[in-house]
Amino acid sequence: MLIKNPILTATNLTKRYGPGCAKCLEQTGPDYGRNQCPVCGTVIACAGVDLAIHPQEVLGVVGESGSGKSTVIKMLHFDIDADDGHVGLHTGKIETDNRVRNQNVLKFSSFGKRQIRNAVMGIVYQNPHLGLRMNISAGGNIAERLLMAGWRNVGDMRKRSAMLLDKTEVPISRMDEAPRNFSGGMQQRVQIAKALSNEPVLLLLDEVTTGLDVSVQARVLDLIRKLQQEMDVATLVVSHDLGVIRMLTTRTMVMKNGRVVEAGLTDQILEDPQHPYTQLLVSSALH
Amino acid sequence: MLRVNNLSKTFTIHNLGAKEISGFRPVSFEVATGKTLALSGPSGTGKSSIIKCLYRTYLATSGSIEYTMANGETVNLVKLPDTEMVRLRQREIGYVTQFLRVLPRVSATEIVAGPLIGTGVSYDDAIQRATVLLRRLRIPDELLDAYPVTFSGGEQQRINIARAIIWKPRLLLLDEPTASLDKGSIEIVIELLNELRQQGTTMVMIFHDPDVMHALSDSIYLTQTIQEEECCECNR
Ligand SMILES: Nc1ncnc2c1ncn2[C@@H]1O[C@H](COP(=O)(O)OP(=O)(O)OP(=O)(O)O)[C@@H](O)[C@H]1O
Ligand SMILES: [Mg+2]
Ligand SMILES: [Zn+2]
Repeated sequence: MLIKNPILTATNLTKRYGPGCAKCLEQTGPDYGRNQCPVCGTVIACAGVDLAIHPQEVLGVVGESGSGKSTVIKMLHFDIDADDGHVGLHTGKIETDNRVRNQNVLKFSSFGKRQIRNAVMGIVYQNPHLGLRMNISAGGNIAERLLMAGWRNVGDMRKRSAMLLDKTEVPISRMDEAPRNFSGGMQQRVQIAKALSNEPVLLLLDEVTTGLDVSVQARVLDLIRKLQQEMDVATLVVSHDLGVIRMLTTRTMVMKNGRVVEAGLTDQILEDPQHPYTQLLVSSALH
Repeated sequence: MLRVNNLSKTFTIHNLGAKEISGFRPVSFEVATGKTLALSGPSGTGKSSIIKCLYRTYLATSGSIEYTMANGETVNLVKLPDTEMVRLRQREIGYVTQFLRVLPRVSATEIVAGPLIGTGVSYDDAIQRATVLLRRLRIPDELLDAYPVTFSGGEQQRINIARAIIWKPRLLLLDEPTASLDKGSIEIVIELLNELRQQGTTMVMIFHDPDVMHALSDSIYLTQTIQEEECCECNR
């Protein structure tokens, strides 16, 4: 069930690469079909992005390659610094929530951001190399994350790692093996186990199934859907694949050239897209 | 409970040079709480599109849909914020068509129990209720735990109907959910929907079969053919 208050509210998220000039914003975007400023050459990876994520909901972000989807997710996870914007959190989980409430967490120190990330977020990257240390064991990867979230007892951590790997359908017998030996689908499952280890309030998924075989993709999606329902975790799903969006999300935002061109209920986006770009996206996905 | 004023829908197809296609002529109707209304009219008059506008799968172009919620507050479904619409879909408004959106590797009982889970009903209880309902719809016991991907069209439709009625929505939108059912199954569906009516569910429905329509509806709204110049190839 959706509850009225969002757990995360972001406004005007903006990220640019380059010096920037007065024309950057008005000369880029879907109307021009580009995200690079013709005056100063700056790339506007995303600009003016507003979004709210409610408890337990699955929100999708869809758009072509380079539209700025990953940039949004990475700013929310504090992997990259935003140039502009406000992010407010109301997770009800962090002890420091009082300090967090009504604050722009983008402005926190890197220590503060790390605390928030460890307490309430989990992320799965498209590229498992970003999310996992390939040379330490699968169990060790999860234990490392648990340590950051404040766990101390080795036995407990091992038990929880085993439980999570089991949940994500990674054979426990392979817990002590390094993920470098695993298949792509298995690596993604270890990443998912790791992302869920601290019982996050917000799960961020960036192209989790891209690059996997179709049948493996389907199984990973099944798993995500199952876990999402079981754990009631609010989830942001970023994908260029409308099939993934259709299967996992209730609401969807469509991005192009660094801007949100349309947002709505997922079935509405798919059956009655309003923006020319969304119409193109939907019709090319169906044929 | 539901008041539709001058609702209209035009699709703008940008890739065809912003071509405009009319979905249906402006419609106005009312449905009182606990009453049922059937939409009836020739094919192509936009019956399904009207229902999709009510569920917000389509965005209406003009007009309003005033809906009085369980808490007594009246909202306009055309303008309601997305998250509020999601809430209404989870708590009050159900929608069922002839097509089951089959989820891979989810059993028949789990699909049907789905809408109950998260509303305070325990998992076991939800499965139990789904089982009872599916048995009433004559789904053989050996199919209850199977995945509906492999089911026949008629079996899938019964799963779909069970999923739509198990949580007793306040407002139920039906778009030909019995299209490929045999007579026996249709009678059971009519019986189940009439029970829901007695319990106070309001319905807006499309049924091609006049017998089914008359068995279920308190009143009928006739949809009209779109005029020549507005006419289109789209046959939604
Ligand atoms: N470090 C960087 N330096 C310069 N430009 C960058 C940098 N990171 C991203 N960009 C640019 O920002 C834009 C948005 O990139 P982003 O990775 O967010 O796209 P995306 O929507 O996730 O695409 P994909 O679907 O291919 O993953 C792109 O034009 C990209 O080239
Ligand atoms: Mg990306
Ligand atoms: Zn510039």
